[in-house]
Amino acid sequence: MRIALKKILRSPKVIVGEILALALLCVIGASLPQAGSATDAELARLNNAGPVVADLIKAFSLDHVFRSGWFCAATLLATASLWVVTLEQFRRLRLAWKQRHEPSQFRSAPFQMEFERPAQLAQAEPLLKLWTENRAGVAGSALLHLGLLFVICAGTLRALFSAQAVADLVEGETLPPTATGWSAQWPGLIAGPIRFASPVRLDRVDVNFYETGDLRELKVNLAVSSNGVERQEQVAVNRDLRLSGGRMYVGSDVGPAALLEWEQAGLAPAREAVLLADKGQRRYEGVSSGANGMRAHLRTQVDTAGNQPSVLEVRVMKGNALILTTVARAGDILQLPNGEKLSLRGMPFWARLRGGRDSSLWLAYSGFAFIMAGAVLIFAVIRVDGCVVITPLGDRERVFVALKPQRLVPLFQERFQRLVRQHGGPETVVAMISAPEPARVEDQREPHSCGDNCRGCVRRALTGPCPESRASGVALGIILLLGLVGVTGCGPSAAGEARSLVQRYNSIVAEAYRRGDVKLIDPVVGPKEGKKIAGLIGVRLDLGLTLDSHLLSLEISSVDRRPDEWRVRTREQWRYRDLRIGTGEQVGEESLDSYEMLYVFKKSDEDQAWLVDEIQFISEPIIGRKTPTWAGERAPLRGHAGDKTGEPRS
Amino acid sequence: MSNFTLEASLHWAAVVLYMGGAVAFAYALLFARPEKTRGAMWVTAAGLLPHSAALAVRYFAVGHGPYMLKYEVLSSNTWIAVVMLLVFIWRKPSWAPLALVALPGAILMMGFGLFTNPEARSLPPSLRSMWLVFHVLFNKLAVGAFLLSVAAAVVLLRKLNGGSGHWLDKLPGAEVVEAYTVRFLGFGFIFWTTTIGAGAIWANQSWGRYWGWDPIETWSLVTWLAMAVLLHARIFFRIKARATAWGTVACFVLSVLTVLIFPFVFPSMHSAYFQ
Repeated sequence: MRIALKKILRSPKVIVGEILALALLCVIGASLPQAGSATDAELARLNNAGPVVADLIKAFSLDHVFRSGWFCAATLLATASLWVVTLEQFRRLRLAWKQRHEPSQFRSAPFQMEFERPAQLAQAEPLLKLWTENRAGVAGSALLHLGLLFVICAGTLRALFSAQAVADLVEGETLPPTATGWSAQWPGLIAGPIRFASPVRLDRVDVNFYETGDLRELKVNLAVSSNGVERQEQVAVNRDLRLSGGRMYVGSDVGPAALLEWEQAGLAPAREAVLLADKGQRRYEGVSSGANGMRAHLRTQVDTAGNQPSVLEVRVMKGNALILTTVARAGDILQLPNGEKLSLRGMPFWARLRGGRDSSLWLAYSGFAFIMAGAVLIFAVIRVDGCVVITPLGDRERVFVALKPQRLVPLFQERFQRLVRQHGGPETVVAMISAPEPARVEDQREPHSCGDNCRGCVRRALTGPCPESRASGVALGIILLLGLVGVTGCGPSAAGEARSLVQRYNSIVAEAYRRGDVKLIDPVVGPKEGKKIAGLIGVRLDLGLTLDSHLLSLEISSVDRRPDEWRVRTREQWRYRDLRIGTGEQVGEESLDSYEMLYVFKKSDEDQAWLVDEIQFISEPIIGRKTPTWAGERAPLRGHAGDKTGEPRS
Repeated sequence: MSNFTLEASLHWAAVVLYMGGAVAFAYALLFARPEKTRGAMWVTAAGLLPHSAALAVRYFAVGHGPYMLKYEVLSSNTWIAVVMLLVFIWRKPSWAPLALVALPGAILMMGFGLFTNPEARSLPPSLRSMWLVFHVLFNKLAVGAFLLSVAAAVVLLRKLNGGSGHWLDKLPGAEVVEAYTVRFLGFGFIFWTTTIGAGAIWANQSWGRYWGWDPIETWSLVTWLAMAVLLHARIFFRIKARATAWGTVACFVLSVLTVLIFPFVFPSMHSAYFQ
């Protein structure tokens, strides 16, 4: 039973099948959005691709291939084969290493020649010379497979015992030596959480930027206490810190934090450190929620030298109404309606510290080293056995020259020719000399590390399957693999993508009108349309108004998709109302409008994102509201929903 | 003259010289003038001078190695491929016909790169690592080795299909060409393995894990597995030379897709670095 199982596991068909199965699963996993790494929207799009697709995804765990039973089973089977093969290879390696050659063994050599030459030896006895070069080459395959085993074992140990954690700390804050001190932990299946032996205080964040706004450098200065003694340490991107209990490192998550205090009559002040998130171009934004449904939208800019920002843009909203917009400095107290107050206490930096513990890392790295060493030995260090026998025959000598490379035999033809010439043989050896029939079969098959006397090799060679059918099978496999790549690489439908583009644009621009915040539209609008919207928001702010708009329905009529431009026609229904800044009271009547629109999207030069370049009405808009709220509405407005504020074009 | 104008002029000078080299190789081999092969090599080697200068100008202008943009990556890949080709032909002059396939391939790669956006991008701090240098360098070496192996595979297929001509006859027999095809693929396998290994160590340093099933990581594993299938099939099933050649072409295509195409198709951590 055990022998039969071993036989199956080391069968070439099974091994190649296992590799193909793993490759296929990897292709699927790499081509389809996977839970854990893909966004929710991508996963939803995959699951909404149709009932058949959804069934397939569910049945075969296609949205979490690398954690599926299929993948585990394929990996387990491949590991079992790898184990059996590696043991076998090391056994053969031991034999091949010790093997002492006899001249008779060279009868099967792929290169051999016998010729006569005038006597040159001073002795009457036959001369025998046997040698082996690059003996280490035979260890290549065994080492490579051992390395693979190491890596798989390391991966398994990592899944079981490793742990990852993150903590966002503000300058001056301390990470306690407890598991709960971290913001989040991801321990392995049977691993405990990360807990450093000493408290770590974040003293200072050193950060600076390129002129383009990209992060140039990030260093985090820490104070680590142990046994009552405090020592200064530093972690930076790609420079970790080893501590008792794991290692600490940083990515590139950093930014200023706004230390806020909400005060409400009769209640204790609520303090919050709002970690402002990077929005590109050294701009950082965040939101803080206060009492009575109020929330403060915060924004600041950091200079290229990475100094702490001195001012903070604050927009306080209550529901959809803008209550207050101002620029605050550390120490400022903002008065809000109903006697509420919002204080800005300071703006230190925050940084995300990451903790990791993986005690099997050495095993993985050893595995990588073995794999690389094995690959080098297989292809660059080829074992070659040589034999020269010179037999005196009076005034002549019979010379037998043979060369037996372990693999890539034809490459040694020139070498053999030189060897023959060195021993007085003919100048030109026309072709590789064939060995006697049974052994030749083995030699042409590129013997593996067993050397060339392995009975298994001979048996498989003699009884092996038809090479042509196998070759076409492999070719078919590769073609199928590539075909699958083509199929699974297809993107979502044009209408679906157009809908998401239009929805994203509308939700961002609607929020910009609501908050009276022009900067929000930067990620979705090109310069031409941007200027128009900025002007309209500005005019409203001057009048002390904001626009609260809601998209009620959206229908994509057509999509004209070109490489650098998308033209999307839509039918939309909107509800609008104007709100007074400060009180949030509605000004004028509400309006229910219907439009047919044409959106022209163009790619941004900077990051190749689709931006709205222009918006047109393609038919007369149907406007619900009869009375204009403000004089500016008499002008023809076009573009974003917020432009369509109740007045038909004149 | 601005840095970019200088760099572009040098790049195009290199393209012109490489094209001259390719034409000279074609003339020498197709019109049976073997003595001209040496000249063709010199013309091609002369192309390396402006090409090296262009890469140096780029390095000093942007302050980092060629691994941020298609423009930089393809240009440096071409440089490595041409150097590898010339070194091989210099060591084995009878293999000059390989240049007929490999050199146009390299010129196409460079031409494609030169028509992409050359605007320099800032180097994020995560890319400042010695392991990244190894990761990128060995990837370029792998691409060079794959280009040579696919060139040998094309020559092999030509021979197996009964093609004849002075330049084909100059080459050794099909069995030797096949062995070289496998050897180049083997070197590609070594370099690809090292690329994955160095990338894994760098990923652990930067992102806290050496393997995360990121789509490009996974595709690089698929390429590696495809090579493993081909090499195992050759050993176990004694596949014919024709199948080996087609398998080599498939592995090359897969490696090109992994390095140059898939980062733009599948959302990946690598996409951000290679626009």
